[in-house]
Amino acid sequence: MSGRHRLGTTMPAPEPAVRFPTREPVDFVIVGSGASGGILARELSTAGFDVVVLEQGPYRTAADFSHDEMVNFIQGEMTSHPGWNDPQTFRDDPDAVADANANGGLPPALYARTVGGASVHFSGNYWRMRPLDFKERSLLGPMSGTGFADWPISYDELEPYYTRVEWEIGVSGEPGPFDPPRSKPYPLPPMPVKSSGVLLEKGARALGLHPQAAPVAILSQAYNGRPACVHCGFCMGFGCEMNAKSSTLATVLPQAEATGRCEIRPLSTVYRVDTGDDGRVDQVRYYDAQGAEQAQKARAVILAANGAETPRLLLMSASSAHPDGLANSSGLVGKYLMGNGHSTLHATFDEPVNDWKSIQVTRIIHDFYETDPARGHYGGGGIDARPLLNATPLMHALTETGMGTPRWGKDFRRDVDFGFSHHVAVLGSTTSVPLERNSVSLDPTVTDDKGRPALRVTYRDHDDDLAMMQFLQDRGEEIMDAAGARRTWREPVVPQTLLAHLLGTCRMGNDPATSVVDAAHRSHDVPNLFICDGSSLVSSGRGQPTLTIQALAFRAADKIIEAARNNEI
Amino acid sequence: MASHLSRRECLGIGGRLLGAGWLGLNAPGVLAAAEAAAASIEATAPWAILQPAEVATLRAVADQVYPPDNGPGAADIGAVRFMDAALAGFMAGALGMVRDGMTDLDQRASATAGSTYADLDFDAQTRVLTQVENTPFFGTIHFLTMCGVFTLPVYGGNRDLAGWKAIGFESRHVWTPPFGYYDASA
Repeated sequence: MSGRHRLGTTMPAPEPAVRFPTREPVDFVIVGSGASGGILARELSTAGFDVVVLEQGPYRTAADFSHDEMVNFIQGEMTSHPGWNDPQTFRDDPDAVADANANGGLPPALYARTVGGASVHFSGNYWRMRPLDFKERSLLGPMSGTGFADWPISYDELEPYYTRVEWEIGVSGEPGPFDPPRSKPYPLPPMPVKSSGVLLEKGARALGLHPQAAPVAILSQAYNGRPACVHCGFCMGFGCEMNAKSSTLATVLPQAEATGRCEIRPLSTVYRVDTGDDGRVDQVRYYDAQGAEQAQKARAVILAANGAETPRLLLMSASSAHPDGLANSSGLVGKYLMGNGHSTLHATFDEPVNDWKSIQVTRIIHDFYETDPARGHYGGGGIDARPLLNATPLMHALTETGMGTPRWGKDFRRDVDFGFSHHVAVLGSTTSVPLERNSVSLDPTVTDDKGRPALRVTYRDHDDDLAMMQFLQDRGEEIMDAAGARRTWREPVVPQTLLAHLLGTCRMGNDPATSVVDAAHRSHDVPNLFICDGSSLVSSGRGQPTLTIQALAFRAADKIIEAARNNEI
Repeated sequence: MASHLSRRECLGIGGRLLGAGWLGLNAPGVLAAAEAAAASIEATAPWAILQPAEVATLRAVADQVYPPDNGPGAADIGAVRFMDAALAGFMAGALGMVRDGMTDLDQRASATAGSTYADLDFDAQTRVLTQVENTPFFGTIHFLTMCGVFTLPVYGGNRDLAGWKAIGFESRHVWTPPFGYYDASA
């Protein structure tokens, strides 16, 4: 156990490989160093462009991570702003006043603020989307009252970039029976199966389903100079002390810095992108590590700040030329927020499962991926088995209690003591119907300590999303029963108020009236402004979006480099 | 005792008291409290903020939440040492509410048995605590008890790793398969 209890704001950042002056324009400023920003930084700097990456979180590295639940979960070290109070507000009804305390202080748009972004603390589930995800509107027909739409690109166009992600960062897995076509196998064999995976597999096979190894961005063997996972168990919500988790921090960001053309500026919180008289963006304003106002000039700007902060920044960057927010002539910046639906079924077994060891997920079920009209609603999803928050002692104790069971006293203690090593959660992850009323916007009254309008989330799952969540929970219960569970209990399926997948808020499309960026991630309104992160997604996929976000980033980088070399930015 | 605390509510208790932004600003307090707790882990060490009668009350409540069974209860695991450090430090804002809750418990005990809450027998303590189990006071003490039993010992609780032993957790960085019974026998 690490003895460190370090706080993000106190640690020194590594010495940057290069420092660019703020008053000279660099080729690109990238806002955000996470799943997509890291890849864009590596690709553009490798191609010979000067790049400044502005990251609001500190520059934590593997040596700074610990197994301390107080720091990681209770204090929320990685998910809170390192310098000041930056509240978010939530409402489920667009006519209601948003609540600043909807989740008891947890931000409704949950993401990591650290170099590497959420790829540092994620669980690394790396599902490809399938061809149908890109053209489901055409396959199924319209859904009235929704923004259900096809993508302007196809799976075939993205496939080479899925392969690039898997090989560049290191993904462990093996193809399953329903997987889309792939041009190369996985670079690494799957992770060793856990008891939770064995039980999921057993129950699923008994029901005629087709479980498969989970593809994960975690190394099952040494790869590219990084060691294999040691199965410590402190994975979801924690940074990896081994660099075995394939975050951008452990993979592409060091490669970007090694070019000598990429400066990662941590503790730099962007609050505005400025537009010049010619209608082009020319500088990015931010608060530096001391909270002082700075501005970095740039020839082009790429927003990769995630599906919540990217639209917030665009809306904060309104000007006389862009009165409704930068790149917002469509009025769709911040709209069509999708979070993926999640439902949870809990089970306990007679013998030790020990799901607190190793990674979160080793087996998944994709039999219910496609929309089936027989189910009576739109939607599809995947099922996996995992410890969820029961992977670590304190979070287990705080969340173990089942429905209708005691939450204190001797029986409670027996549940807690038994449950830690005998518990399995079955998670259903689903589609989200894109709805205009689900959005990220600027709160009209609440501000952060710097006076920036608070990020306001308006969200209510579509009834079909809730039906799909319920459907997968029902299947989860059948699977656990078939696997021989001694007891199962359900977390009620209710509209979500906390989103960890932030998708769809600057959607990609060919028509400037119905989308924010084009198929090359260039904003329709501003020729030297690009947007590439979860906000670009037109549909939500089936619950694990990061691989698609990174494939889009590799593809966007190719398009941006080509345009820059042709002097077309 | 059948009432249910959902995952969201559970996290919410932490969130409300330890709101991410608030803690971000007060993070050095967490560290100070942790160091103070580690330094005062000996049972004879002085208490940072709690009075002896308050220690007795909180020991009783902590043992109601997580009683002795498969090993020592929360009180002997050090949960109240954790609470003392927390209420003197990063959760100082909850101290008044906790003190009001303890006064309320004593008044309820006095009304029924003419004694303090700590002096009631275990079953009588259970009956009184059931009356307040849906209050913020109880939620806070429940949260602090779990923290004091299951976090790193550096925060003052989890004495001799008794909390981790009770649930079968071993603090090791490296594991190799098989991890559990079912993958071992697959």
